[in-house]
Amino acid sequence: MTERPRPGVGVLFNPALIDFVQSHAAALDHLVVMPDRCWSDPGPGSPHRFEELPAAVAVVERALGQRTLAMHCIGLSLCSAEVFDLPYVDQLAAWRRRFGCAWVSEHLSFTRVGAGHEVNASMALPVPYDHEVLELLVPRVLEVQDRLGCPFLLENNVYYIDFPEQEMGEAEFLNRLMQRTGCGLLLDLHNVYTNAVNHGFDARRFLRSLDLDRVVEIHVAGGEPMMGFHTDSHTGPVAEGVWPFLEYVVPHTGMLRGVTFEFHESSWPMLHDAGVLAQLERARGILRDHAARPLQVA
Amino acid sequence: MSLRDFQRALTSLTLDVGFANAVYAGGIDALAAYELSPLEARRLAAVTRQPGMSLNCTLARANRFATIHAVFAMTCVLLGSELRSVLDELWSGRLPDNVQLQGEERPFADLVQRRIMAEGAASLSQHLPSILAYEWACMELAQLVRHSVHPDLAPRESRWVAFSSDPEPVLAALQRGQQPATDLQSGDYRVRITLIDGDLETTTFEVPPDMAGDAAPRQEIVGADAFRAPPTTPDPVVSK
Repeated sequence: MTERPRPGVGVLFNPALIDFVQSHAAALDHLVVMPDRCWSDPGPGSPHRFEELPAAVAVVERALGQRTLAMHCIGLSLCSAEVFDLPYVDQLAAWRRRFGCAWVSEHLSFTRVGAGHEVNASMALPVPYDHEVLELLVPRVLEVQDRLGCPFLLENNVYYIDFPEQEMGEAEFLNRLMQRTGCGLLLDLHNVYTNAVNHGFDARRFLRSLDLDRVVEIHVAGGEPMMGFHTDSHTGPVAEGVWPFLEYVVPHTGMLRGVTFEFHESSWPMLHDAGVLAQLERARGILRDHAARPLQVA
Repeated sequence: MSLRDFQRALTSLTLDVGFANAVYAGGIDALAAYELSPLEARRLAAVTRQPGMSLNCTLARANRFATIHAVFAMTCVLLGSELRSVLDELWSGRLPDNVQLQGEERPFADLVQRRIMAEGAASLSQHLPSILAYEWACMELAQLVRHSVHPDLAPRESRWVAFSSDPEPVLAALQRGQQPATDLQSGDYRVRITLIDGDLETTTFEVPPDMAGDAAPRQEIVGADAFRAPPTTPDPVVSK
């Protein structure tokens, strides 16, 4: 029997948190950084890919040794049919080794099209949950995991459009992908909440159909109304409707390492230190009260 | 090929509202340029009829605009209702080509500069040339910090920008997201922006009328070689 790590709470780092991370070190069990914000990357073909931004890297370096570090990426575009950016994966792997990151995550979506001369969609776009996409992803996820040498998580997507005639539901697609590759799930509960509100499905039913044993990290966040939708804008505190989902999910997880609060830096005036601490404390309380499973695993 | 073209088409629908509207109106026939299976074509035609497609187009534009706004927030306030047409023109011939949406700043500034030259600053805003140059100068200096190993030891550099009315109330209003007052007294002013210990410090100088001819002509600062510091800077006469 080995003792698995007790899940903790953390934040997705943004520039508004530079002082917070130093001042409230004890409130954070882990820190998630977006590497894409720590380097400049004009894209494939440029001789100046991954030029590090010293001020941003310094934040990561200061966090070293104080708490668990993890990376959350936005640039891989794993679901792009014609782009599989192995230099980007190798750059992640180099950072994973350099900073000892405990896990790395990406989104189950695409932003990049056009081999040779790329076009960026400027937002994460969904893929249809078809066998063709599953077959595209399985070898890629295996390759990424192999190069990273640490747990690789995929995040359930937020989507505002709904493709008709999909071959699988989202939960079935995620379960199959995790089953075939061994990858973990970054369960973004605000994405689930947002999709459920916008598309009118039962979020708890969706969560029940997911293989929650594969959840390694959970994201909680807030959003705001726009054009008749609830958007995943990461505005302000965690949406009130997300907390009951966290209470429901936590007891059913087996590999959970952390709950991460994410917000956009423009929301800092709505939060300040006290607001961020309040989200972390509430998440910590749920972990304490609802992590009913024994922490011993074979 | 099919999934590739499906993603290319969805990306185009997201970045080009006109194309999305054409597919909305014309259905599958408007997607003829792409090699799509019948199912993929039906899916794309279907999503153009969903309200979420409008939101996607809006969010994509907002994300692109965020990189411009981060540098040119005050220029955007001054452009007011013209901003939309500037962005439409900018993006009609330009697609984002990297995940960080880098590279929008220079084309945006060039386009605003061309509009100033074509239409005259007065028809847009009398403050626009100065504010455009001011924000460009701030961006140049901020990049020195961003790429510096020790931001507090970044080279101490300055940029000068000419203003035709007192810069302080103009900047204060724009920083609040408001148009400057219209009754500001005109004059000949210079703003010096200096990078000190990683921060930008702004100092305003007023050039008395009898010395205005000796100072660097305004066109040298914000004219053809826009966004660059003048080769010579005026002597500070009145520091504010």
